[in-house]
Amino acid sequence: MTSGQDFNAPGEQTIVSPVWGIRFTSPGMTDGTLPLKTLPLPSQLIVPLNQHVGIAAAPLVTVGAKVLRGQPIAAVPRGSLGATVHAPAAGRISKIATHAVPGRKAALCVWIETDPADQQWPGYSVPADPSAAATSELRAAVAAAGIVGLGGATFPSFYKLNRGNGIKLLIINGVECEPYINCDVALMRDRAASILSGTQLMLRILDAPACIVAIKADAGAALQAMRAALAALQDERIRIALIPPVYPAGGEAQLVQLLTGQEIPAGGLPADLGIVCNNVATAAAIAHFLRTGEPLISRIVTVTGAGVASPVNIEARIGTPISELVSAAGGYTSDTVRIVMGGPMMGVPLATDELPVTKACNCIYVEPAAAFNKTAEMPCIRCGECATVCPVRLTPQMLLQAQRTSDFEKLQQLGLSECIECGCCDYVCPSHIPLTGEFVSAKHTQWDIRFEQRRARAAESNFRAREARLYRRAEARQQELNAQTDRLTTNPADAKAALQALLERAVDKPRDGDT
Amino acid sequence: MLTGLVVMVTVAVVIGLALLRAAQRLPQNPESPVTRVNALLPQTQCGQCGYPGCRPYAEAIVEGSADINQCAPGGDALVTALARLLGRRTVRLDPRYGMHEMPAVARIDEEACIGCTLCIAACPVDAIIGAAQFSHTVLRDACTGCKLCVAPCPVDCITIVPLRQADAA
Repeated sequence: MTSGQDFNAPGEQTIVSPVWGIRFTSPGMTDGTLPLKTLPLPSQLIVPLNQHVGIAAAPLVTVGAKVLRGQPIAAVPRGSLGATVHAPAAGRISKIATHAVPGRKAALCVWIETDPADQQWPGYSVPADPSAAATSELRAAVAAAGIVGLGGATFPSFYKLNRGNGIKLLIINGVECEPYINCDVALMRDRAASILSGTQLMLRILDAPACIVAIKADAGAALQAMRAALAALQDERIRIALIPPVYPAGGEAQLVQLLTGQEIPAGGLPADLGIVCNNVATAAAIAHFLRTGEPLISRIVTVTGAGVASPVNIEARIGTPISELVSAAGGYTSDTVRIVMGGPMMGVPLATDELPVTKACNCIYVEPAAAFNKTAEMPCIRCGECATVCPVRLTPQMLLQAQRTSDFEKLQQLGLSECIECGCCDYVCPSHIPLTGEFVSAKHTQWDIRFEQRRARAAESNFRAREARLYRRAEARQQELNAQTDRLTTNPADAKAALQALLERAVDKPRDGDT
Repeated sequence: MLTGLVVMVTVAVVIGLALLRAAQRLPQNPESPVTRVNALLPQTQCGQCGYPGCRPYAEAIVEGSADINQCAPGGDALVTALARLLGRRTVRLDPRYGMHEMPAVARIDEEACIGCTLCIAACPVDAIIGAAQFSHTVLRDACTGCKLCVAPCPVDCITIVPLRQADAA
C-alpha cells in the first residue's frame, strides 16, 4: 500500500484495470453529473405486460375499470417465471390491446388515463420494521412488488434472492460502464441510504455473510455519497470496491471476474460460484417498497446524446411515452434522429418515440442524423485488435471467418454462445466490420439449426416406430394366413364347409339394380 | 545396399505392426458413415431425392451412387454440411429434385375432410390422427411438411402452410 491510495477509505478495495475492454474518454460520454428530476404525471400511460424475463403477465383488470397507484393490473400464475405489473398511476383503464414494446416482442399493453389526484392503492401492508420481518415475508414482498433486475436484464428478482443456494457473496452493481448512461450514478448520488437499506434486506433474505458494492472509480459525487451513507450505517458486512472505468466492466460476468478472480462457467450463473449480483436500482426498489408500500412503478432514465437539447436524468412512471421524456430533456436538436433504448454500444434502436418506458429502460440515447453515417466495411486485416478488447476472451476474427463460411461447428467450438454482444470488437475494428451484428445473426442461425435438428430427430423416431409397426402388422397377417392354410389343408372337411359358406354368401348378396 | 534394404523393411514392418495394433486398440468412431450422413438429413422422408426415405438416400450417398445435392428440404446448408463431412466440394442444390422451401406443415380443413383415412396411410411419421368417417387433423409438432398426404386426399382439403404462419394460427 503506497500513499497513492490514500483516497481510499479503510476497507475499500481498488480493482486493477483489466487488459480487455474500452476506456472511453470523450467528454459527455462519462459525465456523471446530470441532474435528476421527476417528470410530472403524463395524461396517458401505456403499460406493457411483458416487461420481464419469463411469460407475459395476464391482465387482472378490464377496460373501464378504475385503478389506484400501485394496484396490481396483471400477474403471472403462481410458480411460473415472470413478474406482477402494477398501475403506475391512479386512473381509468381505457384500452387493453397489443402494442409494440421496446426491446421485446409486441405484447398486450394496458392504457391508463391518469387521474391527477393519483391516490395510492392501500392493498399492500408493510411490516413496521422490515429488518425484523421473517425472510420468507421479505422475499414474498419482492415478488409482490414486481421487482425485476433494473440493470436492464429484467430477471424477476425474487428468483435470484433464494437462500437455498448457499450464497457467500452479494454484489451490488453500481458500475454503469456504458458511455452516456448514468441513471445509477444519479441514484447513488441522491439516494445512497435507500440503496444500502435495500442491500441489507437482500443480505437478510439470502443469509449471505458479505457484500461488495461495486462503484466506478470515477463516479465522483455518487462515490462520496455512498461512502458517507456506508459510514453512517456501520455495517461490517458491506464494503465498497472501486472498479476501473472500463467498458464493459459492469457486465455481470465481467464484474464477478474482476472482483473475485473467478470465472462463471460457460452457460452458468453467478450462483454456481455462490454469488448473487443485483443492480443498485433493484436494491433501492426493494427498500422503497418496504418503506412506502409502493411497488415498482417508476424508474430513473438517462435521456442523453447529441440529439437532445439538455441531457438529464428523469424519474418517470413506467408506461410514460418516450416522447414526453425527450420534451423534458429540451426536445430534439435535429429533424432526423436515431433513438436508442440503452446506450450507444448495446442499445436497441426504436422505430418511434411513441413507445413506452419499461422496467428495462435505463437510458434513451438520441443521435442526430449526422452522427450515424456508416463507413463502408473493408476486409479483415487480421490485426487482432478485436481479440484484445473482447471481455469474454473470444477471437472475433476467427468467429467472423467461421460465420462467413457457414461453419456452424467451428462457431460453436469458438464459443459463439458466450458472446455478450458488447460491441467492443466493432468499436476497435479498423476495417469497420460489423462483427457484433454478424454474431447476433449467427446465434439466430444456430437456434434455427438446433430447432430443425430437434424436428429431424423427432421425425426420424416417429418414422422408425411406424416402420416397425407396419412390419409387425404384416408379420401377424402372414402368420394368420399361414395358420389358415395349414388348417384347411390338413382337414378337407373343414375346407369344404368353408367353401360352401363362401358360395352361399356370394349368392345371397344383393347386387346393384336388384329390387 | 543390403543393409539399407533390411533396415527399411524392418522399419516398415515395425511401423505396420504398430499401426495395426493401434487400429485394433484405439476406439473407433462407433457411428457408421451412413449413420453420420443420415444424422444430417432432415428426416422428412419425403422421397423428393428419388430414394424411398432419408436413410436409403444416405446409403446411396455413401455408396457413391447419389450426389450430395438432391435433398430439397435440406437446401444449400445441408449440401455444405455434407460436403464438409465427406471432404467434398460444395455445390448448389440440384433443382431437378425440387426447390428449398421454408419449414412448413400440413393443415387439414376439418370442415371439408370426409374422414377417408387415405392421408393417414400416406403419412410417413404418423403425424395425422383421425378415424374412418371422422374428421382428421395434423399434429403440428410431428409433421415434417413432406407433402405426401396432399396427393391422396380425394377432396383436396390439405394445404401446406409455412411453420411461422401455422404458429400464429
